[in-house]
Amino acid sequence: MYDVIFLGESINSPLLSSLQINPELLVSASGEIGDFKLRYREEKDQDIKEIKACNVIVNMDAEKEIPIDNENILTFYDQQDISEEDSIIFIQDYDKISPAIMSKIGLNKVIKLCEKNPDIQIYYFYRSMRFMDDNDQLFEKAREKGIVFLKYEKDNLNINEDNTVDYSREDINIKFTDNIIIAPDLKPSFGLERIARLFNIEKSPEGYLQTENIYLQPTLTGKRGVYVIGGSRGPTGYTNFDQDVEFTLNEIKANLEDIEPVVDDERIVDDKKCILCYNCYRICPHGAIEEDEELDAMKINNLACQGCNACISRCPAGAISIVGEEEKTYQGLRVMMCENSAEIAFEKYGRDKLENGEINIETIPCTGSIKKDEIFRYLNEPENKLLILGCFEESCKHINGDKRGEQVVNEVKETLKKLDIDDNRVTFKRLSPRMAEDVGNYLSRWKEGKL
Amino acid sequence: MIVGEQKDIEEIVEMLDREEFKSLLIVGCGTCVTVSMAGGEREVNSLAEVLRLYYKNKDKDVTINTDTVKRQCDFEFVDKLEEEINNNDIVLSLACGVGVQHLVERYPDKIVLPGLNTSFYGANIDNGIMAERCIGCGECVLDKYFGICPVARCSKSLLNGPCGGSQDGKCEVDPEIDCAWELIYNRAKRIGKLDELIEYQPPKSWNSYRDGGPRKLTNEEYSS
Repeated sequence: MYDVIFLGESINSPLLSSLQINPELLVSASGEIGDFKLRYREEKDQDIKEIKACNVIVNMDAEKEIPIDNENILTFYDQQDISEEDSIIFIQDYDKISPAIMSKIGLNKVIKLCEKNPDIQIYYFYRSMRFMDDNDQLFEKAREKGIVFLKYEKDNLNINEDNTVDYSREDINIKFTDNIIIAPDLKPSFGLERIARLFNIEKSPEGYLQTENIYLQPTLTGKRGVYVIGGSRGPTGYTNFDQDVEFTLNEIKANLEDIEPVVDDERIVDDKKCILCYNCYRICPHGAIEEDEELDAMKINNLACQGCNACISRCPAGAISIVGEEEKTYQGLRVMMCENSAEIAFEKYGRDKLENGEINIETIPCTGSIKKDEIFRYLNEPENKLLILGCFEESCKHINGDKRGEQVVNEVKETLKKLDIDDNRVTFKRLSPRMAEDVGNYLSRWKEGKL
Repeated sequence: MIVGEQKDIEEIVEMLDREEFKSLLIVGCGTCVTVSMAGGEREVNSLAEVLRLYYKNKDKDVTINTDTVKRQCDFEFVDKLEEEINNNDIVLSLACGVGVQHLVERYPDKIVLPGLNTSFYGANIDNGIMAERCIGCGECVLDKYFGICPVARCSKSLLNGPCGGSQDGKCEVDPEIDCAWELIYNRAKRIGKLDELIEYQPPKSWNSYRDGGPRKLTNEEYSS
């Protein structure tokens, strides 16, 4: 059992037992934090090996793509010697503004080139010089060495098909015919999509292995025990790389000492009802569900599960349940509050401000757990009304439970309208944990039917 | 799998309102339409609760019962419903059209209504998204088109495509639809078989499809 597996580049971590695996040669991944099983090949034609690991760090560089239609042009990353030239132009941010790492690489490269060939005239075009580490000192140093920095706007610079460069600004129009060294665009590594699939973790819309989520700072993924650093996180993953590594290794050291389930209650899949449709696997924001090949049914990994109940709400066969869960017996005004947002705000507002029994407050793990049938059943009593309070977009601990909750409520409302039933009996609103005053406001307006 | 979609609630209610009944049995189907999230236990329960709410709102005394069997397209499972079907006035099936008719065949005196529209034979292409891949033409041509079916996936079912309406990889019928012929071309190119596409494909015989009337298959290993 290794403490950590590196997919991609490994990182010096002397206190941890580790192994590096080429992501392309990873065959499958299963299990959960503290007990991942990876099958992989050391070389292409070799037999598959199986190993166990407590944690996984994905550290795959971003792909570099030349932003113009010319594969032969040199980039900031090329090592090729270009000392034969009289003058050279560096171009940064040609297609879009580059991440800070590109300024750092460009500045280092331009200084090195200048030191090696002091007589070359170098122009460095940029739209935005971005700072990390010692970039400001590098920038100063480069200027002292006589490198000409020219800031341009998107339309002021054009690289022509013959690799000449037109630069125009106010009344200046200059054509450069020198050799170009260009900053490449960073794109997700080709293998990331497959890694996301093998580990069943979320991808950002751009294809990197981390979604925008306040709970996922800085190198966590939705799946416990799987971390992403560097180019796997996105172009900004390079900016604080050293701190990210330190954070990750500390997280791993802590979880090696003690890994506890996040939730107290246990969720189980009824193997007689499960039809292996894989909807729960696809919907779980924490990659906590996988196929139990012995039982021929899905199973929930308890250490990976974060208790959002999205799987229960979406299982089309009704096969997933919480062990020992009792039926709810609310009546009248009922408010379902997400424990990560509305409930925190409500506690700050003060539970005692409500008159006893006036409103039933129910804490739910996530609005993604709401089930259509439960809402309809509740509304069956004419005096019953339901308010569901969830998180704001991109603030959901379970990635997009807020959207799932809202979608269910909208669907229910649509159905009620079609059946001439008052759809205001169910309401969905978003709150942040800081909106203590708004909770009181929402509740009183809702009671009066004005929310 | 067979992909289904639950009928609009207004249509279901309209259908039910045409019938006289005091008790209704909603029957789910636990295979294809459960996978396609249209007629499994979850949808059965959800529909039952909506209808309970609807009848209560209308002050109508209706009892709604539910059950879900593994497959409504096999008599052995349908037979297990005998008691419940007898105890209820009418039945609403959330199976595909095959399941509904199988219930009718077994329980010829009972009114059985369809709760789903049977959409197509398809695959899950993304979370909650299903797409048509086969029309069940009875004579598979996938070998000639490198695994992409022009019969099902080209809007015009062209065997020698593409047509002039293919633009930027999309179909003129609907820009949401991928041009099947672009997919076929790209696939052929990828596996180095572009030259095979030059070969002319004669018109398809539709005898094995619906043109020969309703179809029946016999597997003598089991039937004899």
